[in-house]
Amino acid sequence: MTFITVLITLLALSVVTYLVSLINNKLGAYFTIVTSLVTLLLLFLLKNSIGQLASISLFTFKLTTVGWYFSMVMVVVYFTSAFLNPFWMKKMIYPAAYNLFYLVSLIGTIGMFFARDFITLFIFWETVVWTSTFIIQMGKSRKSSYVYYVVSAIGSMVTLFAMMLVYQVSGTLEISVAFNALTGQPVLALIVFFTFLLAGLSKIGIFPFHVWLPMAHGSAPHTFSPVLSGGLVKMGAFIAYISVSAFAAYEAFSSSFTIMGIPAPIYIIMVLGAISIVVGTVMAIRQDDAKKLLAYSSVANGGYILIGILLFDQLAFAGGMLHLVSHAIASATAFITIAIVAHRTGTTKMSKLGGMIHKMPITYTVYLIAIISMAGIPPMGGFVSKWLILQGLADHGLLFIAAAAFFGSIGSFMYVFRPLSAVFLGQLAPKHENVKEASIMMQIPMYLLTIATLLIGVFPKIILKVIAGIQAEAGIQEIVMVGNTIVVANGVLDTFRVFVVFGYGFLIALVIFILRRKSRRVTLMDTYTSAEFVHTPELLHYSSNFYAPFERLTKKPYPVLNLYEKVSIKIKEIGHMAESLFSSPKPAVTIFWIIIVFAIFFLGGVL
Amino acid sequence: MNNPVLLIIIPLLLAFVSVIIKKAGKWILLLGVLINTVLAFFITTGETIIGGFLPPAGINLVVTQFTLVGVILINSLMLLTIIMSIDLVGKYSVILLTALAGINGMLLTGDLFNLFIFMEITVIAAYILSAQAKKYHHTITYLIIGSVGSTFYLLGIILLYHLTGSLNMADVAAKLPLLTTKELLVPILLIFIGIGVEVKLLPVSGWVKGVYAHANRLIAPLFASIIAGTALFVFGKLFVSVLPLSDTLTMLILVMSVMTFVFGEFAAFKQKQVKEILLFSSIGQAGLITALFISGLVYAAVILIISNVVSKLIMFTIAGAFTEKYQTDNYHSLSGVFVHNKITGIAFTIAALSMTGIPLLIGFYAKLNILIGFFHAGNYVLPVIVLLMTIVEGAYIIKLLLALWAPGKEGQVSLESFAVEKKQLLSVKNTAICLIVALVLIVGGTLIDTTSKIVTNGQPLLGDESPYFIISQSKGGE
Amino acid sequence: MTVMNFVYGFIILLAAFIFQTTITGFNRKVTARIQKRYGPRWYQQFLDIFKALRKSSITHGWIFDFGVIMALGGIMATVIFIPVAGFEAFPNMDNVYIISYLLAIGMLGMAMSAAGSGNPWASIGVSRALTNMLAYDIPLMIVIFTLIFAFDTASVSEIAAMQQGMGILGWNAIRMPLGGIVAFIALFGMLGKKPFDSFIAPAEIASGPMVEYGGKHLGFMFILHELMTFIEVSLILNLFFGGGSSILVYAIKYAILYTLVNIISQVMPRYKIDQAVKFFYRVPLVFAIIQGLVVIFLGWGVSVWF
Repeated sequence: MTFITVLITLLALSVVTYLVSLINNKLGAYFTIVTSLVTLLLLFLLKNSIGQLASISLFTFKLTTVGWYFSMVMVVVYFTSAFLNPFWMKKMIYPAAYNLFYLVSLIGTIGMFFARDFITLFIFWETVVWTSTFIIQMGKSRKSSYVYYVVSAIGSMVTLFAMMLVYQVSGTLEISVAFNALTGQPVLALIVFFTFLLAGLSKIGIFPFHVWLPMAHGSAPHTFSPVLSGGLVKMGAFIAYISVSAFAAYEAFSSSFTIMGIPAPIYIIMVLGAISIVVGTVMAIRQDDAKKLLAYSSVANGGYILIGILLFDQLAFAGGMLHLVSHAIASATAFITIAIVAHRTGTTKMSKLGGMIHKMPITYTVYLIAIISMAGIPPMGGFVSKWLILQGLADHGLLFIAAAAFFGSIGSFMYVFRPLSAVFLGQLAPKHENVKEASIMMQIPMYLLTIATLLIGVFPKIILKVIAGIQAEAGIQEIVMVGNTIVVANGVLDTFRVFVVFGYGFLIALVIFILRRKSRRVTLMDTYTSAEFVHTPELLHYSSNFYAPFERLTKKPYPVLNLYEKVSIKIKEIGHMAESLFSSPKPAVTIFWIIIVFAIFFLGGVL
Repeated sequence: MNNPVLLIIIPLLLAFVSVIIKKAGKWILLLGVLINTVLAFFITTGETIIGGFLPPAGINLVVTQFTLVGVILINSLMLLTIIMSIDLVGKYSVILLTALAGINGMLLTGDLFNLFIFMEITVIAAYILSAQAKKYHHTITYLIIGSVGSTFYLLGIILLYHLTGSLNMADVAAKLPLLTTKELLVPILLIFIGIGVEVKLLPVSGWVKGVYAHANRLIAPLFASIIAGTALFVFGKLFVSVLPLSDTLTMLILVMSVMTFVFGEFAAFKQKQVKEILLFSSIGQAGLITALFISGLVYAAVILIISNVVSKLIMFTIAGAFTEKYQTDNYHSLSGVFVHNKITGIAFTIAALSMTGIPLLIGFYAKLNILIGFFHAGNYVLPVIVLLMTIVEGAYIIKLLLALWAPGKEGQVSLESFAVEKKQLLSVKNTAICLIVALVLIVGGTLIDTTSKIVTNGQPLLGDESPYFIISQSKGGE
Repeated sequence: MTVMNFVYGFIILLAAFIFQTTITGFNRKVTARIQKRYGPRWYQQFLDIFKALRKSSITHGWIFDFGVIMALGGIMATVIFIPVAGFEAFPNMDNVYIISYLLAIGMLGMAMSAAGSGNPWASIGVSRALTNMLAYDIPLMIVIFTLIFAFDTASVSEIAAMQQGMGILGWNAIRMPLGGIVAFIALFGMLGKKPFDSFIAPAEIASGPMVEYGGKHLGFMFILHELMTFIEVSLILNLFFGGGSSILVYAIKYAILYTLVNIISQVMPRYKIDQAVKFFYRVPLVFAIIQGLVVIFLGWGVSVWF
């Protein structure tokens, strides 16, 4: 089976989905599930044809392990989120278009990951950008869609510049070859490195391009937020991968100034990653909207992924790549659970929720496992990847970056706990008394993703095998697994044992608990209130200003979005100036300008 | 095989006919444009002598591949505009036919003085058309500035005649290199300003806002794509193949073009009215196109003209429909207008996205060629400006699209009920045409090889040898 | 992984519990003497725990129970991984990151259970505890990071073993004095000792995560607290104070370290939680970074002390 067949099949299926959606949008939404499942299966079959070259019209593709890896992550996220689509059709202004764009953006990501030349890469990249822009506008904010598009456009335009520059220098558009022409031209290589990477940075939400994430993730349709955070953000990681593999940044800058063995340009980008971790964490802790909180956590986790991939070694690289998967899954799960809560209650504001666990215990459990993974606590997927990254950082001795990583990792305990406590635990508001658990259809993706998180956490081998393949493809040392144990230079990790021992501990505790006398069930309102008589559950629920002391410490909001707004205002001012100078309704003004131009040209021509 | 002079004669002839048969005016107009469009597809490159005298003494029409593209493009767009807005033609059929003759003359003529005459015909027609909006103040402004421009142009060619003894473009082009830069300065400058008024270069484009902003569904596309497109083709012809520019002059014109580009895009970014956004964007794009011509990137310029005028045709038609149906074209007051007019909206969106250079639309292909061309020429600054402006352009276009598609306040999920009241923007016929034209943008941007073959016919345009993108280039490795 | 590993694990668990509870009891007496009281008997802590376990209790729903079990389970698993004087129940599982992150699952369970009680005071306590953790853990982790970089291993027992054989001068706390100070201060934060005890708030009755617990839940929390203390003190002891070459040495050092922390904390005032964060980011963080830079760039304190 060729890749082109797959691509055309998917395109045909998405058109079918669109047509079906025009007639019955709910049925169309079910078609998105089917189509993404077909995509998943087809991609799985494609694993055997790694190395295949394909081309159609102006597109050329090459099936690589890394592309396969990325697209699998993407499709898994798309597939699982698609289960929510049928429930949101009524809330969309353009349901049919939503279904179409949903699938087209999926195809776009796949095409992009397998792109062999810059043009293909760029075209598919942009396809994803504008389809997702139009999906985001169907949510509750137009501004976020706008900001998303503009930040993406900044990234992609600058990257296009790099691509064309490389094309001019090398005469070829093929990604794997084109960068070779830069050897021996350090200045050019520097320009290309920073400009090429920019699309990736803007997509993965690295500081200062992270402004779009909370806005877009927070206000996108609830069904699309999991895709944005779990999937599309990871496209940026792919660009980062190209910049270290095909571009071979380490060789290109081998003669430049190094910091702990890391060439300065790469180090600068890693510092940006570290800043994103800190900014993302601090801001996530401050949010009241659960989706915005998760969006900021994506910023922070994007930093980990970027740092891991940029280190491009045996350890941290494997960590970065694994984190890509574990965060994709965890974040998609978390967004899906929040989406379901929003579906049932109509809000994502944590201060308006509470006690959901008593109504939706399954959703709660799924969210719990997702955040355990997101916070990097064993025995879930997120721990393994964070462990690899931290070990890798220690191996290199990158102190400041590690400090940010620690901050992000401890901070993540704080921000993942907040929705857990404010949304699911605590007092149940009376108005939510009739909230129902997620329907079976919604539960399917939650189960699938939870199993995936657990599997990665307990048997990371499944994924690390593929990562070793990527490392072999990229020509770096492969990650070593002995049985279930990950063996690296400065540590070993056997997650299966961790899991078993945790189970053992849990079992002991359970036995003791069961052996003791059964406790009496009391209501939630039956709590100790220091002799106050509170009868309103909402008043007994601690959810707003959850981390008030911490928020006091970080009172000043950082001015990055303001920066963009300032630039925008400046542009408007200049535009206004130009308009009032040159577009006057008085002909005399124009005549005046003609004279001025004449004078300037005359002088310029004579001199 | 036919005589290109027919393209000028037939509309003129029909113009007289329509003066006589006033009632059938619009059908005669349609007939004329239709004949012209059909004929445009059948003319071949070469030189046609008119009046029996041989050039340089006689008058001739020169059809190069460059002209051919222009003629076919402009006539087809004219046809589409007339078909779409035939209900608005009314008593303007004579004017429109005359304008058509003038436009074709401008594109085809090989003589500088004839160019002046045809330009005057076109511009006078344009003055009258601009009066349609009954904003006479703006018409007067246009009239004055336009006349000044024409006069400057005329002065310029008089000086050229004085210097070379000829007004035939080919002849002049051959003789000019013998002259010194200083001798050439004044005539070239005068010609530049004269053309610049019609091309809409800043700072001599003060008339544009007043005229475009009030034009209706017929007049707006006529100005924005047809007359502006023609002016750009003429600019290209003159400044690439006829008038030699000294380095300083090239630099100055380039700076002015780039200024137009930047200021135009910035001003568009600031606007709230759909038509004003589009008109300033037109100004900006015109600046970029002249910059391309001046830099010798004719192929990229032509693709950009095509992309731009086709997009503007759709967008101005729809923008005209906004004012027609809703009496406003402020996009805040039109929020969600496309909810009721999805197909119109799709056509508008495709056109807009093509303008911002979204891949697989012809605008992207244009941008690609611009970058390749500039890089090839060793120019690394202009690509940066082009890309930065693309961001600005993308920003205002996406803002516009979001407002038109998704009604509702910030923080609310957009619903159909928030949209403006339901009105049909365009008739079924017009919607279909807009959509088909929009599809042309997609096809042209996807089948790149075909596009380049149609545009160049295998020859370099106006001697432009700089590389451009074709599909086989992306497959360098195979 | 054989049955014996689990048996050893259980032994460690039991020993740790008995040992730490005894030390706690002893320290209650020490505290009392500082406050010029007589103080309870040394086994009072055992009595308290077993009494609590015997009493009837209330529950606020399944998460209230589940959280407690999960917390104790997680903490127990962590204790099993702690190497004591070179003895490990599960060899090669004493990676410092595993220990410090597995510890978190216990804390998460506890936090979950507390928030699940529906009492806002509990949630406030949790929010403070997590903020406190963000304060002390960053400097500590940076110092630990430095150790991993310096010794090229993340195994707690290996790091402990490397400090032995040179007497007190081999200790990381001496070789890397700033790091030692950071670790020692961080231990106060970890243990929730004054001046960093505002999240437990033992002085106020109606706040802190424990507010809703009673009966067996409270008993669980007591056990949990003892085991957590064991983990935290052991970690610092192994990493910075040379661990112990034999169980006896280990126990003595452990007791001294814990008692020292307790004594010092008794004469301390208390920080508000944001003051604690400020303090940790002002002094220990700077110390930790300086220590890290010294080790990474100068190599002092890594292979040779003298």
